[in-house]
Amino acid sequence: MTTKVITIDTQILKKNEIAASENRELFKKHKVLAINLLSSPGSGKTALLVHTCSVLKEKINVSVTVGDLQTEADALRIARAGVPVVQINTGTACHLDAHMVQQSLKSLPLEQTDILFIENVGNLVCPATFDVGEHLKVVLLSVAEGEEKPLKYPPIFQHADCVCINKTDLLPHVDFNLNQCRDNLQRICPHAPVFEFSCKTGEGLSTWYNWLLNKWAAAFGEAC
Amino acid sequence: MHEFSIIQNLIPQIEEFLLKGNYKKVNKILLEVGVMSGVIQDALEFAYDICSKGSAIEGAALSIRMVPVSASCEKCFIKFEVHDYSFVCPQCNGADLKFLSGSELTIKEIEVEEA
Repeated sequence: MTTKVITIDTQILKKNEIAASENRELFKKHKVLAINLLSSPGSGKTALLVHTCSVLKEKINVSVTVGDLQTEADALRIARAGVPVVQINTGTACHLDAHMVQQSLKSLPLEQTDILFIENVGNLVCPATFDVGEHLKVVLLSVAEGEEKPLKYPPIFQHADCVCINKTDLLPHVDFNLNQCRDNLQRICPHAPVFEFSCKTGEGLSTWYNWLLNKWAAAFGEAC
Repeated sequence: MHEFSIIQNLIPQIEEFLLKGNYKKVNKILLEVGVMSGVIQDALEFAYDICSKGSAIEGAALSIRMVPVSASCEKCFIKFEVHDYSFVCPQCNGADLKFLSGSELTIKEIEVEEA
């Protein structure tokens, strides 16, 4: 019996990497800025997209692909904002992968899209591992969750291009230390801008909209 | 839980390798997993034990080498290992870092038996 050791040096998620590259090519071809929106369940991803789409659609074309294990509930909410949206049901999977996103893109008018939001499955662990071909990762947390979230889930926050703190209207009612949260973010993702807002009242959202429009303009568009 | 997806990506790649090289079986698989890859070693081993059963790689020993996070500072150019998820340069406190390792999710090598 002869045994031998063979060097492989291949990505375990090679198939996902290939699909993510194909998605990137497609985004490049259609000049779409793709944004992967990540958070735990209930932080307000869908609420944020409803507001963002309603405002941004007056200036640019926005589409959304939204992932959940089951139901069309989020897609229906976003559709009411008047933008193209497609729902991905992952079944039991705890994250979106590049193949799922690729399938969903077939149902979206990419040639008429400037920014595509990919609302990932609510989870601060698994989606960090799967590249879906996005340009930017946005991580959202809410003041109802606790200021230590960035320290508990460092991989997802470290990869963030920006961090949003939602539900600031609840600050007087919860034991959330905003300064401590800012310090924690500074430690884990010092490169990422932090936006603080309330989707309920709308306060603070304009800085987030401007950041998005500037990112889009820098990537593909004209100055807004 | 995404460790199951990762193992389900791993198994067909090794099976394909065995088939193409006409190898009899695989004895050992060495993976490199970065500390920042978001993958937990125990969960990966658990998923491997379950998913490898009944596949062509059943019985192969899985070995996981964890890779620490290392970075270089884009300002003062020193290289350093990141500890306790503190992503600032230990020399100049700068946050403009280039990551050199820590997000690996790689099949490094396998030991096979020739037919």
